[in-house]
Amino acid sequence: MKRLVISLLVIIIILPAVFTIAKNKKGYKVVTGTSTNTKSIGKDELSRIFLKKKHKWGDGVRIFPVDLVESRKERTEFSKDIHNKKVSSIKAYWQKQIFTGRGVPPPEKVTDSEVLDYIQQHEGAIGYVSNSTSIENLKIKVITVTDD
Amino acid sequence: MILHWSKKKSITGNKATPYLRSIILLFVFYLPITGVSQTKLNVHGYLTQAFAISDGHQILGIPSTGTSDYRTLALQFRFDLDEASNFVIQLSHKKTGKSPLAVLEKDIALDWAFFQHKFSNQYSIKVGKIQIPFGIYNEVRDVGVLLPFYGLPYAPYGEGGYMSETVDGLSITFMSEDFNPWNFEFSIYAGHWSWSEWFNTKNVFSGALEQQVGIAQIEKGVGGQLVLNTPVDGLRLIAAGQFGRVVDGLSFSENGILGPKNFYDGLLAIDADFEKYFFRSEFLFLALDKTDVQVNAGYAQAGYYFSESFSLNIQGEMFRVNYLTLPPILSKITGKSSFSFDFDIDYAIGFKYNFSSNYTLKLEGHWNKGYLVEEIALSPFQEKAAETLYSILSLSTSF
Amino acid sequence: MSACVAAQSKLNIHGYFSQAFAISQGHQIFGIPEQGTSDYRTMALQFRYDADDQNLIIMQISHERMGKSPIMVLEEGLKLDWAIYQHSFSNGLSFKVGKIQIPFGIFNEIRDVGTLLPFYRVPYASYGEGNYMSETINGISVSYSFFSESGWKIDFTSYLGEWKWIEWAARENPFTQKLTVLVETPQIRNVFGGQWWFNTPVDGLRLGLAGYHGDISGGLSFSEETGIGKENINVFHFSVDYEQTDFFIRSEHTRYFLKENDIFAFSLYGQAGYNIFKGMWLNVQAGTYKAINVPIPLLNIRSDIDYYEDFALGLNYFFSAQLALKLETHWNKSLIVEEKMINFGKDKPFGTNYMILSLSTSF
Repeated sequence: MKRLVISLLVIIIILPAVFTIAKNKKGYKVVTGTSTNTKSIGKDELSRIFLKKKHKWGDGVRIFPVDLVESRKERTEFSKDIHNKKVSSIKAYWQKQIFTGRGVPPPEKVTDSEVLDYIQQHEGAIGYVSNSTSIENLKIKVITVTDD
Repeated sequence: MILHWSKKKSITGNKATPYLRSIILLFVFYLPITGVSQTKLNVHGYLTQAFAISDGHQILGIPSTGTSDYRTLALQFRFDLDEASNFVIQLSHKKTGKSPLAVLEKDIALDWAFFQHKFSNQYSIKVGKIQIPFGIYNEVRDVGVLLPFYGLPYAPYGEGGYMSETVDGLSITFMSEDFNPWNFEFSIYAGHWSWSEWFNTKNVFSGALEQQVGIAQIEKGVGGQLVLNTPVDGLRLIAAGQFGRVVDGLSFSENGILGPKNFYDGLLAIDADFEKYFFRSEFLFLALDKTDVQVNAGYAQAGYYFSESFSLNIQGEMFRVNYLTLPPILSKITGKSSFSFDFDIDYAIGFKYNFSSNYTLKLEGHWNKGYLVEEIALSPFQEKAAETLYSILSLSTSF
Repeated sequence: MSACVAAQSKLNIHGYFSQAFAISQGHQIFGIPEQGTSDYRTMALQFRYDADDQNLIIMQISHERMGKSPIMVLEEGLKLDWAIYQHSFSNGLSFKVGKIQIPFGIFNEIRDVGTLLPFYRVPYASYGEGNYMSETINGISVSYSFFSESGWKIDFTSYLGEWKWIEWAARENPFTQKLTVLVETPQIRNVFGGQWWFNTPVDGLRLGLAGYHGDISGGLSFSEETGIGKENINVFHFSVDYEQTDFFIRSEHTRYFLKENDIFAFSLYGQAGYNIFKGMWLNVQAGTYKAINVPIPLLNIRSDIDYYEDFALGLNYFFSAQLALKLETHWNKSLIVEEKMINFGKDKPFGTNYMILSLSTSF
């Protein structure tokens, strides 16, 4: 009986977390340096950061977004989730920005380790990597993306 | 064939050399990169190479024998001095086959050279040789990967004629906060720019074709544009206008058919770009002070995206000149003082295939009726418009 | 240098620069006057963007000065050398579109790269100087290598498109004796051509075969009003290139056929160099160009023309692979002198000696 109660309690505690993880399961996670004072960010704000419409964190530190290359599936998923647009539409947006002289896109990295290196080298940087990529022993943290 | 020049030319290609030397010096003397700052210099570019052929008349530089001397290219150097300030130089190269305006083409021309400062997220100023914000396409005229067809609609963008890509001057831009569903961008600018003109005439004695090319100068030009982004994602409305004094060139010199004149123009545009299709339309009205001469020009363009890569595009345009003053001899014969005609009508259909965001192949066909033909002297006062079919196959890329 | 654009690691920037002082004795030739000139320079900046393993964009901007040469009227401060998009397929086939280099012989694609040339200029006999040969074509080219793994690797490139030549001629006013130099650009259209390179099992030895066909019109020689009218041209070009660590020997032979007017021309040059000691090279070169059965309208005859002969001796010192100092002297007999009007069919080739001291660098 005692074992049954304990088992039920464990299930009750774990089950919501399992459902939450399943619900929020994306192929990527958004990461920043540990010195960035942000734990969560709204989708709209994140989109504006990556479109370079928002330039500074709340504490005045400059934001350096870093993208993955077009061929990465994490990029496709990020673009759909956050910008609500296809990667090709975002690329076209940046081409207009470049060739009207208004701005240049965030750097694009091929591998997750390049993204993580970039974030560690640039205070205020933000990027995204595959969920399976380890950030252990790095000065990097995951931030939660919330629906607006 | 004899080629005549008007006296004043504002070719700025030679001015590119000192800018390029500056760029070389930037490269030669290594720019320090600190551990926290991003690289300050960005280099981008685009290239479109085309093969074009017409069925009979030569039009827009496209002869009936075809030409691959048809290309646009640019190289842009953007240097971010700090968060708020940057300096941009764009060099360009354009080849338009056998176009009469090809004599004005420098192999490498200075497209833009400006300094920009952002006072805030809303206000910014640009000084130098800057793009004129005018309509949907004026600032991206030659960026092949962004255009549905090889070139812009002649009505209203011309081909170097009667509209300029840049102004030597100053612009101020205000942008509303973009989290407002109805957000807008307003720009005003002032300075000097130029139009290019060409005419074909027949030598009165020999009957030989004489091609005249000239550059009119717009002095004390002022303009503005309002871009309104609607709550419908992808739909925006544009209103723009310009005012200035046009002098020199073929039509606006003291001895020209029109003489120096004040001009004003206005443009309205709708740009609807959705996931599966797009629709764009622009209408230009241009008038000259103290004359009845008016230009009405406009186009409509639509496209359907069969997939992310493949689209079918169609376009119709019209350029109409109203109340153009007749030469005295014709005025006497006809009993009229002015004349209205359709200078250009063009219908186009094209296919666009995107290998990726940066590589695009286009195939398009145009049916044109008007007075843009280049190998004969066609007088709108006396002769009917010429019909021409032409095709363009182009590959565009950017980086 | 390219560290400056490290954030765009796919972009590479390269360039070259040669500055010279040149002086002639006897006549002005290749823009080199008797009083000497330092307005003698070539320079280029190349932007190369490797989008990925298969796609590449190259833009090259160049600048050239040739002293008092008549073709300087057409020379702009900066010009577009190349504008190329290249795509490579996985099987080794590749194509280029744009304003692309014409693969023609040993030197056509590297005409102005001072650190790669034994002399300041490529051999005029086969390559001209803007006249009668072009560095680039507006069009498309396709390349493929056969037998890549074997000792007999064959590289083949075929191209299609159009280009322009430069022509100039000095005319003397019969009343005032004043000289006017006319410069025109005939157009070569509907060009179809190719270049084969046969790489032999002998290390450093390769054999080349090139050719093209096109329709020429316009300019001074090929217009209806002033010249012989439109022409079909067929050109064949043979190359032998043997290069070792301490010496090289090269030779190229070109044959030109103008079908409509039954005109034939040929050129031949030989070039050799020896590495005397570390960094120092002694180079020699001899070249000739002759035209056969050329119509001379003023005299109403056809004539063979000994157009050009040149013998050159040069010393090069390479401070490094990217920095070279060259001193060369040429003994020339030709009809391309620039300060007088040439009466083809009457005038014999004029003797000119000229020297060029140049410093070349590249990055």
